[in-house]
Amino acid sequence: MTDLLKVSGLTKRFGGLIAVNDVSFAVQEGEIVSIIGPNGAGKSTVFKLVSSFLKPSVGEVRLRGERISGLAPHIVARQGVVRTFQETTVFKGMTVRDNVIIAHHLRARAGLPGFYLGSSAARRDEVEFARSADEILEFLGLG
Amino acid sequence: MRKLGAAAAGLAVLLVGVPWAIAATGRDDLYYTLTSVALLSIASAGVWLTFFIGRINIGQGAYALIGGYVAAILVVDYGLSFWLTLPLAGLFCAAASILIGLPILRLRGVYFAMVTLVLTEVVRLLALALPITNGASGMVNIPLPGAIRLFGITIVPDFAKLRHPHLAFYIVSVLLMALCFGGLYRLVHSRVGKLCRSLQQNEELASSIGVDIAWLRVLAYAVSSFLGGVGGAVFEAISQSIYPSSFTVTDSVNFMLNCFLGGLGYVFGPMIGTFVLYFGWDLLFQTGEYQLLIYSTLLIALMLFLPNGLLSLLPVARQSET
Repeated sequence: MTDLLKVSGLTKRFGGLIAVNDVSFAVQEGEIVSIIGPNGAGKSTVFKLVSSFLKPSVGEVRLRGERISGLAPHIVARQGVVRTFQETTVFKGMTVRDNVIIAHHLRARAGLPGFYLGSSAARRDEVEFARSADEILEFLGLG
Repeated sequence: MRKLGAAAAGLAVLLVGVPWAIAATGRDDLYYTLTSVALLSIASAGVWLTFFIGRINIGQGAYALIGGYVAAILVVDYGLSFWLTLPLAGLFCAAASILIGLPILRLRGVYFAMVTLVLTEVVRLLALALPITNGASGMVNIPLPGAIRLFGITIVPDFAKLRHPHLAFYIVSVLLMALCFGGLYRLVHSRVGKLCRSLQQNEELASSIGVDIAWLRVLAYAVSSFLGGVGGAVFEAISQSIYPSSFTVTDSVNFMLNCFLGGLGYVFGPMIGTFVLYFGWDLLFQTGEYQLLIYSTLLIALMLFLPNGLLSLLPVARQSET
């Protein structure tokens, strides 16, 4: 069985500081893996490296055998590796509903020109996102 | 539908009501002033769009200058029709802004603002130094826009043969302004606008939900610069001349002030801001040597007491924010 996510020899240096030193692990499909350690151990840096917000100094991250380290974060997110943030991070200037709607962006089928001109794919996306957002908010008792 | 009605009514006032009022009062000079406001508000709309993705842009003067020169050179040296040079000037600015924007849009806050501030000066010095721009003496006697004919029917008359070219330029500028703000309104109210706003608020979060932040940033900046170039190109056609000092750092700062004054949270902020700022400065002319002092004091007071701009005074605008 191939590994869903494979991290090998991951190292990150910030100048003289080695934040992450030679980390390797693999995650199988359906498995839940957690990373533990004291403050400053480099857990957050590992997550930033896996989600490609940072580029590793040495080593690599592979998703289903494909190398994802070095790609832009939004591309990695579209392939299914999505990070969350340590402190609650939301778009503060938007309503709760707008926040949930915009978070559906990964599912968007229409492109930017489509959304600008209101193509049929874009309109379907909008309806679908709004319905799904309402469902989520209802489920959480925020609707 | 109600919005379309309001837009049509506004256009009718600008295209029929204003010329009628000017004819009745004989204040022909107002055409030049109002045309300037319309064109400056197009360039300011571009600055507003960069604000909308969370970047302070003090470099719109650079693109207005580039647009003016590109249109002038294409008309004078290559004999193209002005109407063709207008979109070409905008596209040239957009292309230039992509090259410039790719590295500098990675900067945020005051750093981006500083680089854009320098940009206007760089373009002015380039215009002084390049052989094609004719240095400090600039380009003068640029022919007025010619006619547009389609299948033998004249759609737009030759401006040089018109009795009132001022009126013609006014109509062109108002139509361009309507097109620009209509397009901007659509952008802000579509999902693209929401994505831009997500960028403004938190780029990391935006990229974690799959938004291509680098591309969106460059796209917004290119549209912004396109508008600057178009504004500059029409200005050059009206004054039939362009100099390295046609758009300076002061103009770049003014484009930004127009946005602040009208309100960064409102699409029509730059339009109102430009109008009030332009006419406010002219009205204060009566005060002579105190003009700049009173003007600056008023601006500071406005920013202190109305940080969200003049449009935040309207209860209607507040409901349908941006």
